Amino acid sequence: MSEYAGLGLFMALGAGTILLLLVLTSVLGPRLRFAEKDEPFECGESPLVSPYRRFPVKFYMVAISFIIFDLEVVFLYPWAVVFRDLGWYGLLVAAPFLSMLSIALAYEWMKGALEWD
Amino acid sequence: MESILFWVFSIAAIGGALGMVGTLRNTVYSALWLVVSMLALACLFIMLNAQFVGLIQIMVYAGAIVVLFLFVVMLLNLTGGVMGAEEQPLLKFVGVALAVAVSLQLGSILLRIELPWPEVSPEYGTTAEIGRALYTDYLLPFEVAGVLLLAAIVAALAMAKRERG
Amino acid sequence: MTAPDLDLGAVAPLCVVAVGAALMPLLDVLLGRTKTFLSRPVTAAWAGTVMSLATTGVLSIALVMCFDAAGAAPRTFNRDHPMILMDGMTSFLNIVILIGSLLTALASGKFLADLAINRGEYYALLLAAVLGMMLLVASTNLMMLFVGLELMSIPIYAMAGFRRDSLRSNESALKYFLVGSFASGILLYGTALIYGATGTLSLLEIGARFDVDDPVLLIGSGLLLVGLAFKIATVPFHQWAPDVYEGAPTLVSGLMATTVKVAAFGALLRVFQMAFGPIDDLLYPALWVMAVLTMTVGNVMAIIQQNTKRMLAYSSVAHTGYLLVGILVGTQVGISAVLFYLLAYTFMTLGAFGVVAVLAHAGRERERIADLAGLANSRIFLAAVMTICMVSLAGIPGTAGFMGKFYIFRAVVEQAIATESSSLLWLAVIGVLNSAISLVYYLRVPMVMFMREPEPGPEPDRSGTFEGLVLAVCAAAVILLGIWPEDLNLILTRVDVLHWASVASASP
Repeated sequence: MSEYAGLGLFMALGAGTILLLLVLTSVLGPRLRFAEKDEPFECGESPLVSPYRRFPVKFYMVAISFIIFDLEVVFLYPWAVVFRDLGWYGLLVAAPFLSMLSIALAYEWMKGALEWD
Repeated sequence: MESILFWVFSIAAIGGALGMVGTLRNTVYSALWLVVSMLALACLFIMLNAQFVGLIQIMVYAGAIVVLFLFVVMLLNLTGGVMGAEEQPLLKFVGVALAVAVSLQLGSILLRIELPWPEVSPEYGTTAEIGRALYTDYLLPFEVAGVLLLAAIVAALAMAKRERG
Repeated sequence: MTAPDLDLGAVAPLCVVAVGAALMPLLDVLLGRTKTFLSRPVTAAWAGTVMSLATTGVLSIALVMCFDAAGAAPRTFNRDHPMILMDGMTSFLNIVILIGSLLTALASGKFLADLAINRGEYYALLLAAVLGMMLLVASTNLMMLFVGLELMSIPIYAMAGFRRDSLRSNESALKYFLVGSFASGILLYGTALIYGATGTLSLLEIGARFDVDDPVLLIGSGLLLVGLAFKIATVPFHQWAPDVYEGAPTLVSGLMATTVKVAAFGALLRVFQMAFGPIDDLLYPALWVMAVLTMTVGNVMAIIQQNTKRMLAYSSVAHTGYLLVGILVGTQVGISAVLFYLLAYTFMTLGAFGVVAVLAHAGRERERIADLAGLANSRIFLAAVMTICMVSLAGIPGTAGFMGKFYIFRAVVEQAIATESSSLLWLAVIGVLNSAISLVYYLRVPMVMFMREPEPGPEPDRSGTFEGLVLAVCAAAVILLGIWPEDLNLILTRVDVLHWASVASASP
C-alpha cells in the first residue's frame, strides 16, 4: 500500500488546490443578485424550449469508436507490462491483433466515418 | 491505515450506488453517481492487489460504459420521468424479487467461503501475471477478440454510416 | 518465459476465414475508389459481384482445408492449454457451416443489388460470423465458447438490420440484438457460476469435478443451457424467431436458420458430451419436455402463418425439436443422426429461403405464401426447387429430410428398446405425429404454386446465374442425400465422437 502514498498525496494536493480556488472565488468575488440575473438568458426573454435536445446520431460512430479502441487498450495494457519478458514472441502474438485493429481504423477512415459531415 | 481506506472506499461505493438509484429521474446525474461508485470500487480492487482489475474498472466501466450510458440518455432524450418504469407495479415487484434473489445467492456464496484463504503467490492477479496468461494460455481468445473488435466496427459502420452522395 | 506449444496447422481453416474477414473491408474500399477496371467503368453491381465471389473463394479454400482435416487425427491449437478441438465432429460441423455460408455468399451478390443494399460491409460481417461459428463448434472451453458465440452473433445482428430504410428490418435487428445480448448475459452468468463452483473453464475438467449436490453449479449449468437454448430457438425461448426471420433480409434469415443453428447445436453437443455427463439424469426430464414442446409448438404455429418467412421460422423451431430428440438419445448413433440431420436441414432450409430471396425486389418483397400462387407457370425452376425443399422438410421418403428423421427416430427406438424406456418411446411417437402435422403447412406451398392462378402483377424477371446455381445445388443435395444417405452416414458413425477425451485431457 505504501507505494501509493505519493499518489495519494498528489491527489490530495490537486483536490485541495481546486477546493481552495473555489472557496476563494466565492469569498472574495463581488456579488450582485437581481431577478434578471437568474434568467437563463440575460436578454429578458423567457426560454421557449427545454435546453435538453436530442443528440444527432452522428455521435454514435464517435461513441462506438471510442469504446472499441478503449477496449483495445485494455488488451494491450498487460502487453506493455510483460513486453520485455515476452520478447519476440510477444511481438509476434500482438501483430495479428494490432493489424485487425489497424484495419478497423483504416476502414473507418477510408469510409469517411471519422468526418463530421 | 488500510482499514480506514477500506471503509472510506466502501462507503463511497455504496453511497454512489444509492445516489444512482436516488437520482433515477435525471438519468444524467444517475450515470455520474455510477462513476463515483465505479471509481471507489476500482480503489478497493487496487487495495486488494488486483491492479489490473482496478484499472479495467476505471477504463472500461467508469470510462467506456458510462460514456455509452450517457450517449444513450442523450440520444433518446430521457428526461423527466418518461421511462414509465415507475408506473408498472409488476416490474417493480419483479425487480425487487430479483434483487432479493441475487442478494441471497451472493450471501450463500459468501457463507461458503472457508477461512483461511488458500495460499497464492504474491504475483497472483498482478498485471504482469495476467499478461503472461493472456498471451500464452489464452492466446486464441485474445486473437479472436481482435477479429471481434474489427467486426464490431464494421457492424457499427453498416448500421450508422450515412451514405455519401 | 517460454512460448507455448502452438499448432498453427490445426487452425489453418480458421486463419483463412479470419484473413478473409480482415481483407474484405480493404477490398470494399478499393472497389469503392476504383473508377474503371480494364477500361470498363466499375458499377456498384459489378463491385458487389466481385465481393460476393471473393467471399465465396475464401470460404471454398477453408472448406477444402476442412475436408482435408476431417480424416486426420484430432488436433488442438495450444497444446499447453487446449481450448479448441479440431476432431471429426468439428470438421464435419465446420463443413456444414462453410457450405451453408458459401451458398449464401454466392447468392448474395444479386440479392443485395435487387434490394438496393449492396454494401461491402455485408461480406466482412459474413466472414467474421462464420469464424465465430467455426470456433463455437470447436471450443472445449467456456471462455472460447463465449468469444465464439459473440463473434458469431454481433455480425448477424448488424446483418439482420442491413436494410436500414425498412422498419421491419430495424425491428428485426433490434429484437435479435436485445434477445441475443440478454441470452449472452445469461450464458455468461452461468459461466461465472460454474467457474466459481469448479475453478475451471475447461469443459472436460468441469465434467470431472462436477458435484451434483452443489446448487451454485446446478444453477450455473441451467443458465448456460438457457443461454444456448435462446440461440437455437427452442420453446419457450423461441418467441423472437418469427419476428426476426421475417424482418431480416431473406438470405440473412436463411443463414440464421441454418448455420447459426448448426453452430449453436455443435456447442450444445460439446457441452453435453464433455461437461454435463454427471447430470444426464437430472437434465433428461427438462430436455424431454423442451423437445416435445418445441416440436409441437413449432408445427402447430406454422400451420396458421400466412408469411412464408414466418412459416419457415416456425418450421425451423419444429426441426430444433427433432434435433433435441437426437441429443436426448445421447448415444453414438443418436449423435451421428443429429449430425446428418443438421446437414440435410441446412440444404433444405437454405433452398426454401433462397427461393423467397430470389423473388424479392426492393419495394416488392413477395413474402406471403399467397404471393407464390402460379409460380409453377411463370418460373417452373423456382417452383420445382421450392417443392423439393418443402417435401424434404415434411420428411417424405426419397429426400434428405426423410432420411434425417428416419435416423433420429431409429436411434430413439433402438435406445428405448435397449434401456426399456417408455418415455423415449413416447418421444418417438410424438415426433412422428408431429411430422404428420407438418404435412399440412409444407404441402400447402406446392399446392399454391401449382394449383392457384397467379395474382395479376408485373412479370417476374429471371434469377441470376449464381442464384440459380445455389438453388440447384440445394435441390440436388436434398435428393442425393435422400437417395444415397448410406455413404455419408457410414462416415458419420465412424466419426469417433468420444475420442477427443484422449487429446484434450492430456493436459488440463
